[in-house]
This record gives sequence, structure tokens and C-alpha cells, in this order.
Amino acid sequence: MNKTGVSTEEALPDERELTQRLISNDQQLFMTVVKAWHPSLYSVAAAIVGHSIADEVVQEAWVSVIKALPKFEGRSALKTWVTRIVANEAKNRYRKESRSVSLESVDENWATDSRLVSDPRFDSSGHWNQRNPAWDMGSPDELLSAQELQDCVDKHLARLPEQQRYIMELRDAGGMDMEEICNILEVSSSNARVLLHRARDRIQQVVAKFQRTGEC
Amino acid sequence: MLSCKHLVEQASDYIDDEMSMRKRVQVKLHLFMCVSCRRYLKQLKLTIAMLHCKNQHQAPEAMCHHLLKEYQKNLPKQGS
Ligand SMILES: [Zn+2]
Repeated sequence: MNKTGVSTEEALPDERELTQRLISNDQQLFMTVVKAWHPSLYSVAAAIVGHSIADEVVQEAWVSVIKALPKFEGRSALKTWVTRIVANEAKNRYRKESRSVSLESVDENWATDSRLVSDPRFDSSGHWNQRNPAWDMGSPDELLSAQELQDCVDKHLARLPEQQRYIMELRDAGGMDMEEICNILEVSSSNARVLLHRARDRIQQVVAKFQRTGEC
Repeated sequence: MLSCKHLVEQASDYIDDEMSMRKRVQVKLHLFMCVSCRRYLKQLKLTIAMLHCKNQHQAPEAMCHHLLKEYQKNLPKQGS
């Protein structure tokens, strides 16, 4: 479960019972699960194949899940397993559509070049140039309801280097394990961690600037 | 001592608990003394929470219908 996120899954039964009831035709529970997990499964699919066919990919993945469910061995949490199937389905689709940019072409330099570039937030000894001001908007709800800010965040999300955005969407919106993400994107875990942080840090700066100046 | 810039660079590792005990202690010590970094860490967590809740895409009705049919077809009631 995502530590930082808001859970919509509290009403679901525990792992064992969940799997058992899904195998034995609990239609109502099945629908609850499909709906509860959709936002994060959709994020995983969309990060890999884009928004236009993300729903379709999730649907196809669920069909595979339904067929494989009686053979599910419970070695990982059910949601982890389903997420992996969604990611694989998305990856297959991505290959079929043969888009120009390869998922595997992570620029390894991104992981190491940051220390060479000076960060205007800090002085030469690494201290903040100015005291970091507190934010007026202090909850996710407040941030999310500020439409202008969200438009600004969207704009900057679209501008992130692709791999940074993938990793952050898979991790923070999709709630995937880093290990799974590294497998899917075929990137080393240390690089993935650096790229994840760089993306988060970038968006933090976007929000910080907006809070400070009211501008994007 | 750990600089603010270094702390900021490692903030995700700290939040996600991907850090050695020794590093953790260094970070905690720094945070104890530095309000700017305390704020940064709080803001980064808030940013992650916002990203998690953003664009919560709901399952389309048509998809639910389709999947329910597949479900009934493939996982019939046991004993029937
Ligand atoms: Zn500091």
C-alpha cells in the first residue's frame, strides 16, 4: 500500500478471503475491486501506453486476470499481481504500436549529471540561498482544488523527461513497487530512484513557485 | 555535516525508507536544526500525496459491464 496516498481500498476483505471470494463467483466483490483499483491500474497503463487506450489495456488485463485467477498462488499480493499483468499488457501494446521512443532507452546520464549542474536554490556550500517559506496550501485537497495550480502542474508534468514521468506515475499515481518498475522499464534501481526523485523535486518546485508568486 | 543540497537530493530515499540507518541519523540531525529542510520534506510529501490523488480516473461503465460478463463466463458459481 502506498504510504503517502489516500486509500480507497479499506472496505476490501483481507488477501486470502479476497482471492477465495473472487474465485468463487462473488460478483459484487469483483465489481468493487475493479472500481477501487481502477485509478491506480489506469495510471500504470497510461504511463506506458498513453491515455487514449489506457482503459482498453486495463480491460484486457482484467480478462487475463479472470482466466488466470484460479491458478493464482498468492506469492504476492493480489493487487501487485494484477498490476503486473496490466503493466505487461501495456508493454505488449506499446511494442505492437511500435512507437518511436523505446521504453528501454533510459538515458543513464540522467542519473549522474545533476551534481555537476548548480542548483539556484543553494549557495556554493550547499545551504539554502533563502529560507524555504512554508506553504499556504497545506493539504492535498487544497492543492487539488486550486485549478490554476493543477493546470500548471499538468503543464510541467508534460514537460518532464519521459522516463522521469513514467517512473513517477507508476510509483506515485499507480502505487507500483520500485522493483516492479525497474523490471518493466529495464532500468537499474539506483537510477530509477534518482529519476523518481528528480521528477518529484521538479513538481515540488512548481508548486512552491506557485505558492510564492501565484504564477506558473 | 550533511548540506541542505545533499539532504534535498536524498529526500525521496528518506521518505521511502530506502536509506541506511547511519544516513537516516544524519538526516534527522540536520532536520532537527534546519527549518528550511523540514519544510522541504513536508512539501515533498504533500506533492507526492497530491500526485497520488490527481486524475483519479474512474472505471467506465461499459468496461464494468464487459468484465462482469467475462467474470460470470469464466468463474461460474461453484457446484453449478
Ligand atoms: Zn537544511
